[in-house]
Amino acid sequence: MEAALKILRSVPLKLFLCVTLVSLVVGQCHPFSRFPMYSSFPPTADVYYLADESGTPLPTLETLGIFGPELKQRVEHQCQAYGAETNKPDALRRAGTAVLGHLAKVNQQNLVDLGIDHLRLHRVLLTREDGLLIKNDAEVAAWP
Amino acid sequence: MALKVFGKTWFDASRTAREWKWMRIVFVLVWWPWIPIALFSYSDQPVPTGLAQWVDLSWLTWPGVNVFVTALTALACWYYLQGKRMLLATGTMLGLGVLVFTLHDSQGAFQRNEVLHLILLGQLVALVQAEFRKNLSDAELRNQLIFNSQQMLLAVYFISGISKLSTAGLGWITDSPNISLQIYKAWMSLYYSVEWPVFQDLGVFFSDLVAGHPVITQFVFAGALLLELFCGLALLNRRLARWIGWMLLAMHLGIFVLLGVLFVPYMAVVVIFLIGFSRGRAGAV
Repeated sequence: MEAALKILRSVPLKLFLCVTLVSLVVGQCHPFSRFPMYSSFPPTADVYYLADESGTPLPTLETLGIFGPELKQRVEHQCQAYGAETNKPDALRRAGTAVLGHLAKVNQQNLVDLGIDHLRLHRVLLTREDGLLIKNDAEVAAWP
Repeated sequence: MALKVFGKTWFDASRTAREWKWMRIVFVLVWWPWIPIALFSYSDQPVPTGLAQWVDLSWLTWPGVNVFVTALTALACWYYLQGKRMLLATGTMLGLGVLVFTLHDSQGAFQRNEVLHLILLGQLVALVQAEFRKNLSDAELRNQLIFNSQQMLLAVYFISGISKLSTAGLGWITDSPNISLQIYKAWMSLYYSVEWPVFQDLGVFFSDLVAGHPVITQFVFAGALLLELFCGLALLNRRLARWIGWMLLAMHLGIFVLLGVLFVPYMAVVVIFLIGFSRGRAGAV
């Protein structure tokens, strides 16, 4: 035991090693995280946008007070909260509807001022084929 | 501070009192504004994460409570900047900060500023240890505070490197040209935020640029992964800390140019704790 403690005391960077171990074990629990941003590069990507009833894009910042990347994260995390991935259309519709509903409630007055009473959430799936960018656009959720 | 391991001096985090003061000033400027932003922007936690999964933190946003917490953190910052009652000030900043930032992350989008609280945690560890070592000089404590902050900061990059390897393995390098899709996605997300056509143009330009140069992309990404995995070398001495600090800063600037994503808290703490504000000789206290 004494020898083990002596070895432990001689280990440099204990804090560095401890926080690494705890973060990898605990995962996402602020302030710990595995910092997984861009940790893989699949051959597809997706982007979300807001639209009106006719499908014309609406600026998310002016409409709902958030940036586009936050809209995507909110939908994905809501999906995860339902225990599903975004490639499941039903889960995506449910998550998208919940996110639109919540944001519309928070920005109720702003939507009235802008004269917006319907919102659509679109997902654009991105791939590359023979070097060319391919975009597949689909409406995934609606509010109300 | 120069730490001896196996009888040899390896780890040197010596900094002057003036540098430590500037570190605290910039740290507070980066950390504190998030507190009122979170407390006065939200009213609930639609996607609870971390601690918020077990405890509802929306009470932090109640009228009166949000003002009180904002004022309390401001007071803690004032003591922290003065270097007085450091244990209490750092503990308050860490405790309240973790609650508020957890609420922030529970809006459904991670703000990715965990590094700020890990640094405060490292400083708190040094302060608690100092309570049990009464013969510690001011300079020794200061250097331990800085050294712990550096360990926490560099651990974040190391963990990120480990995550990449465990998620994608070497595929993180070989598949890196696929980031052209992420680049287009990132700029289009900005375009859909404000509908400025310039973001659409930048997305197409950078995405095609990367897709057209896959080998260069793989070399750059291999370098970035090596940097994250070996960034701990910055703890060895001040010169290495500066070099690795500049490389990490360059990496963040590259991310900003290619993806339009600016990790301000990370860039700030890299400048504060690795690059530093003074050209003083290594080992100077």
